[in-house]
Amino acid sequence: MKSFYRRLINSMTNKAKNELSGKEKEQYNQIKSIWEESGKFSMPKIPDTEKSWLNLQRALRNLESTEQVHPGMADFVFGRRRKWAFAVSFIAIVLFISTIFMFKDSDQVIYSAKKMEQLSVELSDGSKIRLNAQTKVTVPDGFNEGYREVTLKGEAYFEVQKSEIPFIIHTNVGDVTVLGTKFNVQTRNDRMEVAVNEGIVRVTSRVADKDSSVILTAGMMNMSESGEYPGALHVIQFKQYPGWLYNKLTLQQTNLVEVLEEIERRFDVNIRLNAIEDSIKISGIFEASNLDSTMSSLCILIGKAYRNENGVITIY
Amino acid sequence: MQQDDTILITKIKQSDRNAFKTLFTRYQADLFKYIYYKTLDYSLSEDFVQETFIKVWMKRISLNPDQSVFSYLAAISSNLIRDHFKHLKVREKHQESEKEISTPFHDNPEEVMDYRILREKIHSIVNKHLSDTCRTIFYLSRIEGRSNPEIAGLLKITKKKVENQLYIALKTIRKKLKNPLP
Repeated sequence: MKSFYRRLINSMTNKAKNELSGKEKEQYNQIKSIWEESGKFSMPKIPDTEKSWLNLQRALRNLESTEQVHPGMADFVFGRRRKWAFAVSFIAIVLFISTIFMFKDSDQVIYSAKKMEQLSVELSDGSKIRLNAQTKVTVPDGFNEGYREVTLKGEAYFEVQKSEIPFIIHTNVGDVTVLGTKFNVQTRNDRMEVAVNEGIVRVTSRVADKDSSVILTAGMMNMSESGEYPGALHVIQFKQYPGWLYNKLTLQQTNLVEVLEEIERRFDVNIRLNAIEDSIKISGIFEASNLDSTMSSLCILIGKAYRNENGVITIY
Repeated sequence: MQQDDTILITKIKQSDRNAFKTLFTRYQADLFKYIYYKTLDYSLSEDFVQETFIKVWMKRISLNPDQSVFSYLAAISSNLIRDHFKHLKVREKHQESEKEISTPFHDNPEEVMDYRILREKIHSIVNKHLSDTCRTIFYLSRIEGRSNPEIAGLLKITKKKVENQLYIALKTIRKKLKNPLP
């Protein structure tokens, strides 16, 4: 008896079926109809993932604000709650902005560089933006008519024309405000890195409904995380910065996973890491004009090997 | 970069919210379908998906990166559903089992079968009489249409166990169809 089920489970062939006796056939048909009918089930439309995620965030925030905070955990929980709050207020801002666009017949221009691509654009005020791979810059209708504001997702190098109108870059982490200068803005997930080559830049993030800013001058950089105060100022360690303008990877205590993500963006490949090497941090300048030399120098550094099979790179 | 579940869970243990979002995005649809198959209630299923992920986040410190994420989610949601329905009245249960008796399975294959009723009965047996593991494997095979090796990989169990559980599921369903009394 057991063998019938087994054959069925392993998709029995018609030939085997014909060899069954009358009684066996009957049993077989019963099991077969159970097997077939059990697979017929009409599944409804799956709820929207993004919406469900927002609902989950809201629920978690409510939970965490009523949750009893253990001593010693206070800072941790509080810090996290602020982040959730930021995420929601950011969405509110986006919705607000997009409504404005709708009123303006949504004449915004979106510049977007795909993986393996870099793009240079010149805006109506004469400012130049160079987009790194996988980056989107949105320029609203009416740009340079009383205001200069753009939205950035990804990484771009700005050469902003001097003007009395401030030039503001909105990101999901915070705002970067300038009057005229050259600087790089990189956003990755919920952190943002700003590095200034020339002039003065103000970085603003919104913490607990209040704006908080730092001023960066030439040669300085800082890192901010969404919902946190802008990070401390550092001196840019590299002569050629940002590296991507010079076909280089400039790394300063960068997580291996983030380095690999940069390489994926730059060369449009998929990289698989076999073991958990999460804690490795890398500093230095890598020549990144070709994939193989980049991968081999990286692998020498971390003491691993790699193989490339049709754009899928495995590090082992 | 497609990070595997082990790395994701390791990051979630360190309260990485992005990793948590990635995990949610990866499993929300599968978990919803899995829960809907048991509850047949759309908004209840949405709630259970949310509750399950809240539990994961709240208990993130004690997550085991080597465990199968799907079986972990399946186990949490099954417990939540069980707790929820425990509170339902005994009378409703009684009515359901009466319905089962009134439409018996026909032993004779020549007889015309009402496949719709058969499907409903199978669904009810799968959800009432199979163990959680068995039901999960049967569900993944029949409803999601996944192959045995795929299921073994997803749940981090052997292919042999998948086959065994499918065998037990079929045997149980057939037995219960013949003798509908619980």
